[in-house]
Amino acid sequence: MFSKTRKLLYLSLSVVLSSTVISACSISKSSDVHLYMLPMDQMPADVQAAPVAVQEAYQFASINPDIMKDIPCYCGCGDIGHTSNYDCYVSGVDSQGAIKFDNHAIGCSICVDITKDVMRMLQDGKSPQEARTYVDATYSKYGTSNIP
Amino acid sequence: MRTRRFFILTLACFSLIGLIAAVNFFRRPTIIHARIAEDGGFMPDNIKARVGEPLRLRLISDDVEHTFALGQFPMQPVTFKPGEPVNITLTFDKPGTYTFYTTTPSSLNFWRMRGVIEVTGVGESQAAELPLYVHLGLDLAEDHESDEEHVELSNQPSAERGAVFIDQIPATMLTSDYYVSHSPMETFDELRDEPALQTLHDQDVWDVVAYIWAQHTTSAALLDGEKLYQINCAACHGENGAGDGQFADEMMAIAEKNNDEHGIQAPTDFTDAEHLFEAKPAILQGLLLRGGMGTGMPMWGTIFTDEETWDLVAFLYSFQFEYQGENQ
Repeated sequence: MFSKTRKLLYLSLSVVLSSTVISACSISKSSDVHLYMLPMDQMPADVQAAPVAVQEAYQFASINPDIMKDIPCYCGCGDIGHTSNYDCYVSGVDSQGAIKFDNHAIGCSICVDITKDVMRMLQDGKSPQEARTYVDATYSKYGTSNIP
Repeated sequence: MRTRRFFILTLACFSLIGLIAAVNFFRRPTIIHARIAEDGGFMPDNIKARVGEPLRLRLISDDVEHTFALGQFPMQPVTFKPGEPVNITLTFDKPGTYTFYTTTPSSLNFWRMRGVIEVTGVGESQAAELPLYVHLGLDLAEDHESDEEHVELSNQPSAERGAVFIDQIPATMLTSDYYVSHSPMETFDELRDEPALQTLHDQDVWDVVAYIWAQHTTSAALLDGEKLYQINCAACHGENGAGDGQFADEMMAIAEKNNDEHGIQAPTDFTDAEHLFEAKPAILQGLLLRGGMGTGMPMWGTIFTDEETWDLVAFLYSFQFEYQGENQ
């Protein structure tokens, strides 16, 4: 009798524990990766009036040239002298470090999609090189890279 | 003994509650909030799923009516309004990144309301191929800036009337390779040089061009193209293709203010024969796939299937060509 009760106890306990563990493990772990973003108040008025997805892309791309200068764009902007996805957001940085923004990405679909993909992958813990590989594989179906 | 019974009973209750909670957790839908693009769009805009496992979504609008549509996936767009959440379940049979988007023109930037569902697991994924216009060595921007010839037409070119001259059309001009790589204007010029067609009036030759174009579509494809156009393109390009959709004036104002040829432009007017006749089908397909490079024309490559893209290309020419009778 005692042994039967103990069995029941163990069984119940294991069900409670496993349910808890399953539930806990299933909660998607929020990313610990924090992206470095330029504050919105440093953005030009056109960007501040743009959709949130565009604002975020500008905030990220403009302050992360080390990453974004190595990410290609496939919108066709190689024809106008852009040499990376970064150029879709920034046309130059002066000697004081002040960023001159480019309006191009405000009306560009693929530019922003690429930047958002990079942001998403970095937040998922992927490396910039992995993000570039993904971008090349995904967008070469639609255009040509502006990084030879 | 009584204490032990009580303890066992309590534990059993907790077990049951735990089990129900775990089951409910797995059945709990992912909530997607929707707001106009300027206020956030779809939130979250990135969802993960696995092949073969049902993905439950609960769509909640925080402001106005929205639509949830999913590119390259067999589902009808789902409309949801504030205060009326909608639950849907999706099951994917192959891995990949699927784009969800809205078809409701809720604001000027409604086309920015997009997100992705990353589906992992075992299944056949499509190998990347270069777009046709790249294969053909065409430049989307260059072709659009080409010199336009003046077109004088007394009637809309008719495929049915053009069919009368079927025996005089060179066979090569009826091939798919020819169709995708030539504009109607180039075709007209080549037909004009055909000895057998020298005596025809320009109107007759344009009817022959319409006939050639009609050979590369069907009534069903045109209907599909029209449906896609009205759902996804009309808000900017207008129901009748005249570039006068509900957002056209706003886009025109931005274009005039910025005066930037690489920035937002007024929507293309497909009723302008001289403009459309300069466009090769491969160029139109490329522009649909890739988008308009900063012009405010979104990319549709991640949303439309190959077949849908060609159906839409064929439909665009119907703003100039009368296909009826030749594509049944």
